[in-house]
Amino acid sequence: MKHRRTVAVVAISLAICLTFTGCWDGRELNTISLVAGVGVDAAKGKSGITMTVQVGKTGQTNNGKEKESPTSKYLNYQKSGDTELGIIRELTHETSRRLFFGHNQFIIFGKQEAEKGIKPQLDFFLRDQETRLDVWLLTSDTTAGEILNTESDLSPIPAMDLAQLIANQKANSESVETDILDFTSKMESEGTSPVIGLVKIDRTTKKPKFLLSGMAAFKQDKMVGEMSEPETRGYLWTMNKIHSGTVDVKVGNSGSSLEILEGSGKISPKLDKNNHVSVSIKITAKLGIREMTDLENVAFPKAGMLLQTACEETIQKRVQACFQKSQVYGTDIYGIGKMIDEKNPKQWDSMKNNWEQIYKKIKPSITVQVQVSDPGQINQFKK
Amino acid sequence: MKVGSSVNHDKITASQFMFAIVCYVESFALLTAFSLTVTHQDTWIAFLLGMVGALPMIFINLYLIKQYPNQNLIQINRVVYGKPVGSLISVLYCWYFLTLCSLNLRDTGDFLRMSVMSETPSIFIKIPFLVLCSYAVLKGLKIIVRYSTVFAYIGFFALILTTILVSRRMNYHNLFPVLTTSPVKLLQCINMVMTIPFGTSIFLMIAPAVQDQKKVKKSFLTGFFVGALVILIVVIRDIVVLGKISEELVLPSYETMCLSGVTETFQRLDILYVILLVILEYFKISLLFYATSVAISQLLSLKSYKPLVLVIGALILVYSFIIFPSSIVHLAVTQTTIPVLWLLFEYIFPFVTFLCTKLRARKEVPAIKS
Amino acid sequence: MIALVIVSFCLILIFSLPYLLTDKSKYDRTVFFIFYFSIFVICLLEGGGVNLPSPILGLDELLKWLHLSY
Repeated sequence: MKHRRTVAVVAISLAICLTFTGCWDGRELNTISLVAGVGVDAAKGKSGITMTVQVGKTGQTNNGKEKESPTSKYLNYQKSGDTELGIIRELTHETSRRLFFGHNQFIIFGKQEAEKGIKPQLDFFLRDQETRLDVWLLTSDTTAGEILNTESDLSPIPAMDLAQLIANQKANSESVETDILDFTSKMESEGTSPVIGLVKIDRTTKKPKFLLSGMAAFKQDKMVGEMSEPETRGYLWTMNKIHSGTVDVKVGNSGSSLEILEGSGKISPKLDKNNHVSVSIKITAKLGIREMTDLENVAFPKAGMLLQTACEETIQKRVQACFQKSQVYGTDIYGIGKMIDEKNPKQWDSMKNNWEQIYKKIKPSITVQVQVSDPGQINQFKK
Repeated sequence: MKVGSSVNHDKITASQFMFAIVCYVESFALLTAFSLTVTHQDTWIAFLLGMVGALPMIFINLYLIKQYPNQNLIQINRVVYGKPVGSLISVLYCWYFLTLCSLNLRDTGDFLRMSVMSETPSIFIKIPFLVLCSYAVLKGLKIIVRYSTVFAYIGFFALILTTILVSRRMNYHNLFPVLTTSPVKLLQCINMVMTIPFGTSIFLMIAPAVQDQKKVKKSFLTGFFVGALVILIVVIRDIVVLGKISEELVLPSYETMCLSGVTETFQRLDILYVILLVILEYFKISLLFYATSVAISQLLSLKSYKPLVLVIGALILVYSFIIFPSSIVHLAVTQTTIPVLWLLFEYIFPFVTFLCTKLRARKEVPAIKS
Repeated sequence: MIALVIVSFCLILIFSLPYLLTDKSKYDRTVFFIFYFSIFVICLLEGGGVNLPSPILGLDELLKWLHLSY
């Protein structure tokens, strides 16, 4: 019995040592460079694309021995070519380490490239074995290369900072986060249009930094237009994706700020026999007063009512603005077409060819219900 | 029966038999791409209907097991059809089990290459795998199915855990609109599902080894339903998480696992899923390998199947390279020709055997009466 | 590749010997060697780079010609 146990233990140890190294696929950390962010732009002048790859410098920790540590721990590689895999292989002429895409955080598309259509570029990211389906997609309002060249104060690798920024957008609910999976699903469905978050460069400060604001609407895979922050908020209200944020209202001369505690939205299309579509959007929100100025003369319950009405108006305006903008672009970003397809597939078949025209004529009925639930720590700041 | 004396010594319990069936059916989770590319979001309907369609054949198989106790498929063929025709049909079945085994080995090698080890030549993966399977087959059926219970339970646990881990990405609207695929495609998928995962004629080779023959019916049906339920949940989960892109992915359930993750720690657990699938494939290949060896040795009236095991292993390995030149051809042929071809082995032959058995029983009864 | 084939077939013979020797039947040994040499030839051909035809593809063509496939 003991003999068998020893043999078993030795066999298992051998199996683990020999197989868990990955055979020919084993890669040591010092032979790869981890790609943190990728940018794709239209190549200047000629056809093709320019790819910018941001790579984090892994390796040497100084253990406090060296007093001056390098300020930047990232490197940007940029090359132009016809196909993405071709460019990456071209980069092997320059890089001493193999590029590893498994930890890629996002892919940014430059504005020109986004307007041309990004489907050919997405093929590589879907087909390759190392790239993953949950990388974020972003559109830049200039070029992707510029965004990746912008340094950040908070992190030695700007791409990681930008990835964290994407994750933190839930705090303001004025930007969307889309990954490749969502984008491709929406792009391929006939009744939806995808949206991608916009990243811009803020040049007002001495050192330029990036900021995420608004979103870009896509028709299939081509970008057709931008939407501002209030419109994006309207989109998030309708799609039930509000996490947190503030609603700023002005009652009379004063401005007040209410925090979104809970928010939900539902969009329901209705189809009648003549293929006439009516859409009703219902939004409910629970807000809490976080800043109130200039309403001391008003009795507190009435002040609450005034704020409630003002909030309902603001939210309604934003939802309306977003819907109208999407109609101008002719992009069904809410997926109304898909919802119709789910319930009435036969009627959808007859409508889908001129869905854009039908969509542009829809007049939504928007109802907003706001409940101002708590005033914060004080009731009213009396004079 | 003179032949195959070493086969009759191998006895397995009814519960091991049941879990062997569960592992066999569950391993199809690797290959759901074949069906998802045909019927898209209605694949789960095809699976349900395929389950229903497979039931008559399971009952026919159970009837044959009951009528010919302790006799496996080759022996049954010999008894029913007589030596010449029976041997011919048995030769076809030997080829069938050999092909199934090679196809599964090819799928395992391709899966490992496409998901984790893209540069290692598949032969270096297949040789150790086959060595392990040969060892198990040489030691006997008992050893092959010994761990089926453990791995079936691990499979359930993994299914529940992984479904919870991807729950935040589920979008039930991906299942709609329902039943918009053409009836021909739906029929094609039902055919594929009935023959590939739910094709259980191999268990006619293994059922005689069950100790308590009375429990075979219950074990067979329970194993089949449990395995089918697991596959159904996997397919629904893949459609719900991946949406439209599930039609185009080569390994949809693997990609679902790549997306899994709750917090920063429990992210990207696809490698554990790969290990589980490889283990389930080990069961399937070992069972098929055993069935092939026993079938060939019984057909040729050898005393024992053991000498031929390693040689058949080499044949399976080389066959797995010859069988298809590329995975694109593999996908095309599996969706178009193989469902029809496998119908012959899984449905037509057992049905004819069933009819012959019934006719013979009817002939004997008047003979006894008179 | 051919070296791998030859080495592995030698190993197969070595490991199959115990089972062969317990058999003591001439018929069994003959069958074993028939299988052994035919599969050895197949593996040598495949290792040598010859493109061996696949039965499934042949059947696929047959069924397509008979219009029996989807």
